[in-house]
Amino acid sequence: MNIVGLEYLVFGVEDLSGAHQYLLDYGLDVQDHDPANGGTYVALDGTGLIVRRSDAAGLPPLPPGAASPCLRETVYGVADAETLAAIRDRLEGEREVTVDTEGTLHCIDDGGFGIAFMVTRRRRIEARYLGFNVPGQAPGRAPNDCAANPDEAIKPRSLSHVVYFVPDVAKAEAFYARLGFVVTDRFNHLGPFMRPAGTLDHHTLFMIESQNEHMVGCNHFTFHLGSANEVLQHGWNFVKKGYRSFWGPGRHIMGSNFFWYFNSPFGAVMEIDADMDLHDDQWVARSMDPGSDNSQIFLFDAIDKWAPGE
Amino acid sequence: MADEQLLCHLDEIPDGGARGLLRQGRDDRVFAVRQGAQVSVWLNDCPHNHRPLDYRQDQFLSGDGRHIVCYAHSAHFAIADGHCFAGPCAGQYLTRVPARLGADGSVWIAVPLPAAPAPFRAAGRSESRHS
Repeated sequence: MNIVGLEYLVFGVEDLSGAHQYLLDYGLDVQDHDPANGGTYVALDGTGLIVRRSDAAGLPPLPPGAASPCLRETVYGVADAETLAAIRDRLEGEREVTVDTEGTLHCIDDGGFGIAFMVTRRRRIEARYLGFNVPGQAPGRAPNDCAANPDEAIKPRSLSHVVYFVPDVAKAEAFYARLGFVVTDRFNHLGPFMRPAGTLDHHTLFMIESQNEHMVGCNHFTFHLGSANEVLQHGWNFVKKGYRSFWGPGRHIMGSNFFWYFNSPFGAVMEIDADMDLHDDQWVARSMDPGSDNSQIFLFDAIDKWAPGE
Repeated sequence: MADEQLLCHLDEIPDGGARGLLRQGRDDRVFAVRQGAQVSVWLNDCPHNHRPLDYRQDQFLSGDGRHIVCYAHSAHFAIADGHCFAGPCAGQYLTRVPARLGADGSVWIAVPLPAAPAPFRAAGRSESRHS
Protein backbone atom coordinates (compact mmCIF):
# COMPACT_ATOMS: atom_id res chain seq x y z
CA MET A 1 0.00 0.00 0.00
CA ASN A 2 1.72 3.16 -1.18
CA ILE A 3 0.58 5.47 1.64
CA VAL A 4 2.93 8.46 1.60
CA GLY A 5 2.04 9.93 4.99
CA LEU A 6 -0.31 12.33 6.70
CA GLU A 7 -2.28 14.70 4.49
CA TYR A 8 -4.50 16.40 7.08
CA LEU A 9 -5.46 16.12 10.72
CA VAL A 10 -9.04 17.15 11.49
CA PHE A 11 -9.71 18.61 14.94
CA GLY A 12 -12.98 19.47 16.64
CA VAL A 13 -12.61 22.45 18.99
CA GLU A 14 -14.81 24.83 20.96
CA ASP A 15 -12.47 27.84 20.83
CA LEU A 16 -12.25 28.54 17.09
CA SER A 17 -10.71 31.99 17.44
CA GLY A 18 -8.00 30.75 19.83
CA ALA A 19 -7.26 27.86 17.47
CA HIS A 20 -7.07 30.24 14.49
CA GLN A 21 -4.58 32.55 16.20
CA TYR A 22 -2.54 29.60 17.45
CA LEU A 23 -2.09 28.21 13.95
CA LEU A 24 -1.23 31.62 12.50
CA ASP A 25 1.42 32.02 15.20
CA TYR A 26 2.61 28.45 14.53
CA GLY A 27 3.32 29.59 10.97
CA LEU A 28 0.78 27.68 8.90
CA ASP A 29 -0.84 29.43 5.93
CA VAL A 30 -4.61 29.93 5.90
CA GLN A 31 -6.11 28.10 2.93
CA ASP A 32 -9.70 28.82 3.92
CA HIS A 33 -11.26 30.27 7.06
CA ASP A 34 -14.76 30.96 8.36
CA PRO A 35 -14.76 32.39 11.91
CA ALA A 36 -18.00 30.55 12.73
CA ASN A 37 -17.01 27.13 11.41
CA GLY A 38 -13.23 26.77 11.25
CA GLY A 39 -10.64 26.58 8.53
CA THR A 40 -7.84 24.79 6.73
CA TYR A 41 -4.24 25.65 7.61
CA VAL A 42 -1.39 24.31 5.53
CA ALA A 43 2.36 23.82 5.62
CA LEU A 44 4.65 24.56 2.66
CA ASP A 45 3.89 21.19 1.01
CA GLY A 46 0.10 21.60 1.31
CA THR A 47 -0.39 19.16 4.19
CA GLY A 48 -2.07 20.63 7.24
CA LEU A 49 -4.79 20.94 9.84
CA ILE A 50 -8.53 21.18 9.32
CA VAL A 51 -10.30 22.82 12.28
CA ARG A 52 -14.05 22.45 12.82
CA ARG A 53 -16.56 23.22 15.53
CA SER A 54 -16.64 20.20 17.80
CA ASP A 55 -20.39 19.83 17.16
CA ALA A 56 -20.15 20.21 13.37
CA ALA A 57 -22.28 17.83 11.35
CA GLY A 58 -20.35 15.11 9.59
CA LEU A 59 -17.36 15.02 11.94
CA PRO A 60 -16.35 11.50 12.90
CA PRO A 61 -17.17 10.68 16.54
CA LEU A 62 -14.75 11.31 19.39
CA PRO A 63 -12.52 8.29 20.03
CA PRO A 64 -14.34 6.29 22.74
CA GLY A 65 -13.66 7.83 26.15
CA ALA A 66 -11.96 10.97 24.81
CA ALA A 67 -13.06 14.51 25.68
CA SER A 68 -13.33 17.47 23.31
CA PRO A 69 -11.31 19.33 22.06
CA CYS A 70 -9.86 16.32 20.28
CA LEU A 71 -8.53 14.89 17.06
CA ARG A 72 -11.49 13.65 15.03
CA GLU A 73 -9.93 12.27 11.85
CA THR A 74 -6.49 11.42 10.47
CA VAL A 75 -6.38 11.79 6.68
CA TYR A 76 -3.66 9.86 4.87
CA GLY A 77 -2.33 10.78 1.45
CA VAL A 78 -1.76 7.89 -0.93
CA ALA A 79 0.31 7.83 -4.12
CA ASP A 80 -2.40 7.23 -6.72
CA ALA A 81 -5.94 6.10 -7.50
CA GLU A 82 -4.85 2.47 -7.71
CA THR A 83 -3.60 2.56 -4.13
CA LEU A 84 -6.83 4.20 -3.02
CA ALA A 85 -8.86 1.47 -4.73
CA ALA A 86 -6.74 -1.26 -3.12
CA ILE A 87 -7.26 0.27 0.32
CA ARG A 88 -10.98 0.49 -0.33
CA ASP A 89 -11.11 -3.18 -1.30
CA ARG A 90 -9.17 -4.15 1.78
CA LEU A 91 -11.23 -2.10 4.23
CA GLU A 92 -14.71 -2.66 2.79
CA GLY A 93 -14.40 -6.35 3.55
CA GLU A 94 -14.02 -5.73 7.27
CA ARG A 95 -15.76 -2.45 8.19
CA GLU A 96 -18.07 0.30 7.03
CA VAL A 97 -16.37 2.60 4.54
CA THR A 98 -17.93 5.77 3.15
CA VAL A 99 -16.72 7.67 0.10
CA ASP A 100 -17.31 11.42 -0.06
CA THR A 101 -17.92 13.57 -3.13
CA GLU A 102 -14.19 14.11 -3.62
CA GLY A 103 -13.46 10.38 -3.55
CA THR A 104 -11.92 10.36 -0.06
CA LEU A 105 -12.48 7.12 1.89
CA HIS A 106 -13.60 7.42 5.51
CA CYS A 107 -13.80 4.74 8.21
CA ILE A 108 -12.99 4.01 11.86
CA ASP A 109 -9.79 2.15 12.77
CA ASP A 110 -9.52 -0.65 15.34
CA GLY A 111 -8.77 1.84 18.13
CA GLY A 112 -11.93 3.84 17.45
CA PHE A 113 -10.17 6.70 15.63
CA GLY A 114 -11.63 8.23 12.48
CA ILE A 115 -9.28 7.78 9.51
CA ALA A 116 -9.49 8.70 5.84
CA PHE A 117 -7.53 8.17 2.65
CA MET A 118 -7.18 10.42 -0.39
CA VAL A 119 -4.80 10.76 -3.33
CA THR A 120 -2.12 13.10 -2.04
CA ARG A 121 -2.03 16.72 -3.15
CA ARG A 122 1.38 17.39 -1.68
CA ARG A 123 3.28 20.01 -3.63
CA ARG A 124 6.95 20.79 -4.01
CA ILE A 125 8.29 22.85 -1.12
CA GLU A 126 9.57 26.27 -2.11
CA ALA A 127 11.69 27.72 0.69
CA ARG A 128 15.12 29.05 1.44
CA TYR A 129 17.80 26.40 0.94
CA LEU A 130 19.28 25.47 4.31
CA GLY A 131 22.99 24.73 4.15
CA PHE A 132 25.44 24.13 6.97
CA ASN A 133 29.16 24.83 7.04
CA VAL A 134 30.89 21.75 8.43
CA PRO A 135 34.69 21.50 8.53
CA GLY A 136 35.76 18.55 6.43
CA GLN A 137 32.72 18.80 4.19
CA ALA A 138 31.94 21.00 1.20
CA PRO A 139 30.61 24.45 2.27
CA GLY A 140 26.88 24.40 2.86
CA ARG A 141 26.43 28.08 2.03
CA ALA A 142 28.08 30.47 -0.37
CA PRO A 143 30.51 33.06 1.03
CA ASN A 144 28.68 36.06 2.53
CA ASP A 145 25.42 34.12 2.91
CA CYS A 146 24.59 34.78 6.59
CA ALA A 147 22.53 32.07 8.27
CA ALA A 148 21.31 33.97 11.34
CA ASN A 149 18.30 36.18 10.69
CA PRO A 150 16.34 37.35 13.73
CA ASP A 151 13.37 38.18 11.50
CA GLU A 152 13.29 34.93 9.53
CA ALA A 153 9.71 33.89 8.71
CA ILE A 154 9.91 30.21 9.71
CA LYS A 155 7.16 28.01 8.31
CA PRO A 156 6.32 24.38 8.94
CA ARG A 157 7.34 22.39 5.87
CA SER A 158 5.31 19.20 6.14
CA LEU A 159 2.89 17.40 8.45
CA SER A 160 5.05 14.72 10.05
CA HIS A 161 3.37 12.47 12.56
CA VAL A 162 0.47 11.87 14.91
CA VAL A 163 0.47 10.01 18.21
CA TYR A 164 -2.52 8.21 19.70
CA PHE A 165 -3.38 6.94 23.14
CA VAL A 166 -5.04 3.62 22.27
CA PRO A 167 -6.85 1.08 24.46
CA ASP A 168 -5.28 -1.98 22.78
CA VAL A 169 -1.97 -1.22 21.14
CA ALA A 170 -1.44 -4.74 19.74
CA LYS A 171 -4.79 -4.63 17.97
CA ALA A 172 -4.12 -1.12 16.66
CA GLU A 173 -0.65 -2.07 15.45
CA ALA A 174 -2.04 -5.10 13.61
CA PHE A 175 -4.56 -2.89 11.80
CA TYR A 176 -1.87 -0.56 10.45
CA ALA A 177 0.44 -3.48 9.63
CA ARG A 178 -2.30 -4.82 7.34
CA LEU A 179 -2.17 -1.47 5.52
CA GLY A 180 1.57 -1.85 4.96
CA PHE A 181 2.91 0.18 7.89
CA VAL A 182 6.16 -1.20 9.33
CA VAL A 183 7.48 -0.86 12.86
CA THR A 184 10.72 1.13 12.90
CA ASP A 185 11.31 1.15 16.66
CA ARG A 186 9.40 0.30 19.80
CA PHE A 187 9.10 1.41 23.42
CA ASN A 188 8.60 -1.78 25.44
CA HIS A 189 5.15 -2.11 27.03
CA LEU A 190 4.15 1.22 25.48
CA GLY A 191 3.90 1.03 21.72
CA PRO A 192 5.41 1.12 18.24
CA PHE A 193 6.73 3.81 15.94
CA MET A 194 5.37 3.05 12.47
CA ARG A 195 5.94 4.32 8.95
CA PRO A 196 3.78 3.57 5.93
CA ALA A 197 5.34 2.06 2.80
CA GLY A 198 5.39 5.32 0.83
CA THR A 199 7.83 7.24 3.03
CA LEU A 200 11.22 6.64 4.63
CA ASP A 201 10.47 8.94 7.60
CA HIS A 202 11.12 7.16 10.89
CA HIS A 203 7.50 7.47 11.92
CA THR A 204 4.26 9.07 10.83
CA LEU A 205 2.39 7.21 13.58
CA PHE A 206 3.29 6.38 17.16
CA MET A 207 0.86 4.70 19.53
CA ILE A 208 0.85 4.63 23.32
CA GLU A 209 -1.04 1.98 25.27
CA SER A 210 -3.62 3.64 27.52
CA GLN A 211 -2.98 3.38 31.25
CA ASN A 212 -6.72 3.66 31.97
CA GLU A 213 -9.99 3.71 30.05
CA HIS A 214 -9.99 7.51 29.91
CA MET A 215 -6.53 7.80 28.42
CA VAL A 216 -7.75 7.74 24.84
CA GLY A 217 -7.26 10.30 22.12
CA CYS A 218 -4.42 12.24 20.62
CA ASN A 219 -1.15 12.57 22.54
CA HIS A 220 0.53 14.93 20.09
CA PHE A 221 1.07 15.84 16.46
CA THR A 222 3.99 17.42 14.67
CA PHE A 223 5.08 19.36 11.61
CA HIS A 224 8.62 19.14 10.29
CA LEU A 225 10.61 22.37 10.29
CA GLY A 226 13.80 22.75 8.27
CA SER A 227 16.53 22.45 10.88
CA ALA A 228 17.43 22.30 14.54
CA ASN A 229 17.96 26.06 14.39
CA GLU A 230 14.41 26.50 13.11
CA VAL A 231 13.05 24.43 16.01
CA LEU A 232 14.93 26.61 18.50
CA GLN A 233 14.17 29.95 16.83
CA HIS A 234 10.53 29.18 16.07
CA GLY A 235 9.98 27.73 19.55
CA TRP A 236 11.58 30.79 21.09
CA ASN A 237 9.24 33.04 19.13
CA PHE A 238 6.30 30.89 20.27
CA VAL A 239 7.35 31.22 23.91
CA LYS A 240 7.61 34.99 23.53
CA LYS A 241 4.04 35.09 22.23
CA GLY A 242 2.87 33.58 25.54
CA TYR A 243 2.44 29.95 24.52
CA ARG A 244 3.22 27.33 27.12
CA SER A 245 6.09 24.92 26.59
CA PHE A 246 5.25 21.33 27.51
CA TRP A 247 8.61 19.66 26.82
CA GLY A 248 11.73 20.83 25.12
CA PRO A 249 13.76 21.80 23.30
CA GLY A 250 15.63 18.54 23.09
CA ARG A 251 16.60 15.72 20.77
CA HIS A 252 14.93 12.33 20.65
CA ILE A 253 16.90 9.13 20.24
CA MET A 254 14.36 7.07 18.31
CA GLY A 255 13.93 9.06 15.09
CA SER A 256 16.74 11.49 16.04
CA ASN A 257 14.36 14.44 15.64
CA PHE A 258 15.00 17.67 17.46
CA PHE A 259 11.78 18.48 19.32
CA TRP A 260 9.88 21.14 21.21
CA TYR A 261 6.33 20.50 22.44
CA PHE A 262 3.70 23.09 23.37
CA ASN A 263 0.26 22.90 24.92
CA SER A 264 -2.43 23.68 22.35
CA PRO A 265 -6.17 24.40 22.01
CA PHE A 266 -6.57 21.07 20.17
CA GLY A 267 -6.61 18.77 23.19
CA ALA A 268 -3.18 17.43 22.28
CA VAL A 269 0.34 18.71 22.56
CA MET A 270 1.65 20.27 19.35
CA GLU A 271 5.28 19.62 18.51
CA ILE A 272 7.73 21.20 16.13
CA ASP A 273 10.54 18.93 14.99
CA ALA A 274 13.40 18.67 12.52
CA ASP A 275 15.98 16.29 11.09
CA MET A 276 14.18 12.97 11.54
CA ASP A 277 15.97 9.79 10.46
CA LEU A 278 15.02 7.94 7.29
CA HIS A 279 14.77 4.16 7.17
CA ASP A 280 14.35 1.57 4.46
CA ASP A 281 13.48 -2.10 4.50
CA GLN A 282 17.02 -3.04 5.59
CA TRP A 283 16.41 -1.45 9.00
CA VAL A 284 15.95 -3.69 12.04
CA ALA A 285 13.62 -2.17 14.62
CA ARG A 286 15.08 -1.42 18.05
CA SER A 287 13.30 -1.84 21.37
CA MET A 288 13.94 0.34 24.39
CA ASP A 289 12.36 0.72 27.79
CA PRO A 290 10.47 3.99 28.13
CA GLY A 291 11.77 6.70 30.41
CA SER A 292 13.64 9.97 30.32
CA ASP A 293 17.06 8.56 29.38
CA ASN A 294 15.68 6.71 26.36
CA SER A 295 13.29 9.49 25.32
CA GLN A 296 15.97 12.10 24.60
CA ILE A 297 19.70 12.72 24.42
CA PHE A 298 19.41 16.13 26.05
CA LEU A 299 16.76 18.55 27.25
CA PHE A 300 16.93 22.32 27.69
CA ASP A 301 14.67 25.08 28.95
CA ALA A 302 14.20 28.50 27.38
CA ILE A 303 15.54 31.28 29.60
CA ASP A 304 15.56 35.05 29.27
CA LYS A 305 18.11 36.59 26.92
CA TRP A 306 21.27 37.90 28.54
CA ALA A 307 24.66 39.27 27.53
CA PRO A 308 27.89 39.76 29.43
CA GLY A 309 27.80 43.10 31.25
CA GLU A 310 24.05 43.03 31.89
CA MET B 1 -4.85 30.60 58.06
CA ALA B 2 -1.55 30.88 59.84
CA ASP B 3 0.50 32.42 57.04
CA GLU B 4 -0.96 34.18 54.06
CA GLN B 5 0.23 36.08 51.06
CA LEU B 6 -1.65 38.53 48.87
CA LEU B 7 -2.21 36.85 45.51
CA CYS B 8 -4.13 39.50 43.56
CA HIS B 9 -7.29 41.57 43.62
CA LEU B 10 -10.62 40.11 42.52
CA ASP B 11 -10.85 42.74 39.78
CA GLU B 12 -7.68 41.36 38.20
CA ILE B 13 -9.43 38.07 37.38
CA PRO B 14 -12.04 38.29 34.62
CA ASP B 15 -15.47 37.19 35.85
CA GLY B 16 -16.11 33.74 34.38
CA GLY B 17 -12.45 33.45 33.51
CA ALA B 18 -9.07 32.54 34.95
CA ARG B 19 -5.68 34.04 35.49
CA GLY B 20 -2.21 32.50 35.93
CA LEU B 21 -0.21 33.96 38.82
CA LEU B 22 3.06 33.56 40.78
CA ARG B 23 5.39 33.43 37.80
CA GLN B 24 8.33 31.09 38.21
CA GLY B 25 10.61 30.95 35.19
CA ARG B 26 8.37 30.62 32.12
CA ASP B 27 5.34 29.18 33.94
CA ASP B 28 2.80 30.36 36.50
CA ARG B 29 2.80 28.28 39.69
CA VAL B 30 -0.92 28.80 40.41
CA PHE B 31 -4.06 29.92 38.65
CA ALA B 32 -7.22 31.54 39.99
CA VAL B 33 -10.71 30.92 38.62
CA ARG B 34 -13.43 33.50 39.27
CA GLN B 35 -17.18 32.99 39.13
CA GLY B 36 -18.81 36.18 40.38
CA ALA B 37 -17.52 36.73 43.92
CA GLN B 38 -16.23 33.13 44.16
CA VAL B 39 -12.54 32.52 43.62
CA SER B 40 -10.76 29.17 43.63
CA VAL B 41 -6.99 28.85 43.37
CA TRP B 42 -5.16 25.77 42.09
CA LEU B 43 -1.60 24.64 41.53
CA ASN B 44 -0.82 24.90 37.81
CA ASP B 45 0.15 21.24 37.77
CA CYS B 46 -1.87 18.64 35.87
CA PRO B 47 -1.97 15.29 37.69
CA HIS B 48 -1.28 13.50 34.37
CA ASN B 49 2.19 14.79 33.41
CA HIS B 50 2.71 17.47 36.10
CA ARG B 51 3.04 20.24 33.59
CA PRO B 52 1.12 23.54 33.33
CA LEU B 53 -2.48 23.31 32.14
CA ASP B 54 -2.74 26.51 30.04
CA TYR B 55 -1.81 26.65 26.37
CA ARG B 56 -1.36 30.40 26.38
CA GLN B 57 -1.24 32.98 29.13
CA ASP B 58 -4.45 32.71 31.24
CA GLN B 59 -6.07 30.07 28.95
CA PHE B 60 -7.18 27.56 31.59
CA LEU B 61 -10.90 27.06 30.93
CA SER B 62 -13.00 25.21 28.38
CA GLY B 63 -14.43 27.17 25.45
CA ASP B 64 -17.72 27.68 27.32
CA GLY B 65 -15.94 28.57 30.58
CA ARG B 66 -17.67 25.76 32.50
CA HIS B 67 -14.66 23.59 33.23
CA ILE B 68 -10.93 23.71 33.82
CA VAL B 69 -9.08 22.05 30.94
CA CYS B 70 -5.49 20.89 30.66
CA TYR B 71 -4.44 21.84 27.15
CA ALA B 72 -1.73 19.21 27.01
CA HIS B 73 -4.00 16.16 26.63
CA SER B 74 -7.58 17.43 27.19
CA ALA B 75 -8.06 16.44 30.83
CA HIS B 76 -11.24 18.14 32.12
CA PHE B 77 -11.71 19.23 35.75
CA ALA B 78 -14.71 20.49 37.73
CA ILE B 79 -14.30 24.09 38.87
CA ALA B 80 -16.08 23.28 42.15
CA ASP B 81 -13.65 20.68 43.47
CA GLY B 82 -10.88 20.12 40.90
CA HIS B 83 -12.06 16.58 40.16
CA CYS B 84 -10.84 15.23 36.81
CA PHE B 85 -13.94 13.79 35.13
CA ALA B 86 -12.52 13.17 31.66
CA GLY B 87 -9.10 12.67 30.14
CA PRO B 88 -5.97 10.70 30.93
CA CYS B 89 -5.97 11.42 34.69
CA ALA B 90 -9.71 10.86 35.23
CA GLY B 91 -10.53 10.29 38.90
CA GLN B 92 -7.63 12.38 40.19
CA TYR B 93 -7.77 15.97 41.48
CA LEU B 94 -6.06 19.27 40.94
CA THR B 95 -4.30 20.51 44.07
CA ARG B 96 -6.32 23.29 45.69
CA VAL B 97 -4.49 26.26 47.17
CA PRO B 98 -6.46 27.47 50.25
CA ALA B 99 -7.65 30.98 49.44
CA ARG B 100 -9.63 33.71 51.21
CA LEU B 101 -11.39 36.71 49.74
CA GLY B 102 -10.95 39.86 51.84
CA ALA B 103 -13.70 42.43 52.31
CA ASP B 104 -11.85 44.80 49.98
CA GLY B 105 -11.70 42.19 47.21
CA SER B 106 -8.12 41.13 47.92
CA VAL B 107 -7.40 37.43 47.34
CA TRP B 108 -5.16 35.83 49.96
CA ILE B 109 -3.61 32.39 49.73
CA ALA B 110 -2.02 30.15 52.33
CA VAL B 111 1.75 29.89 52.30
CA PRO B 112 3.74 27.85 51.80
CA LEU B 113 1.90 26.44 48.78
CA PRO B 114 0.67 22.87 49.14
CA ALA B 115 2.87 20.20 47.61
CA ALA B 116 1.86 18.81 44.24
CA PRO B 117 1.13 15.07 44.17
CA ALA B 118 4.55 14.57 42.58
CA PRO B 119 7.53 16.93 42.56
CA PHE B 120 6.72 20.25 40.91
CA ARG B 121 8.53 20.37 37.60
CA ALA B 122 10.91 23.14 38.71
CA ALA B 123 12.35 20.65 41.19
CA GLY B 124 13.17 18.21 38.41
CA ARG B 125 11.67 16.43 35.47
CA SER B 126 11.25 13.10 37.15
CA GLU B 127 8.11 12.22 35.25
CA SER B 128 8.87 10.02 32.28
CA ARG B 129 7.45 11.35 29.08
CA HIS B 130 7.63 9.94 25.64
CA SER B 131 8.02 11.26 22.14
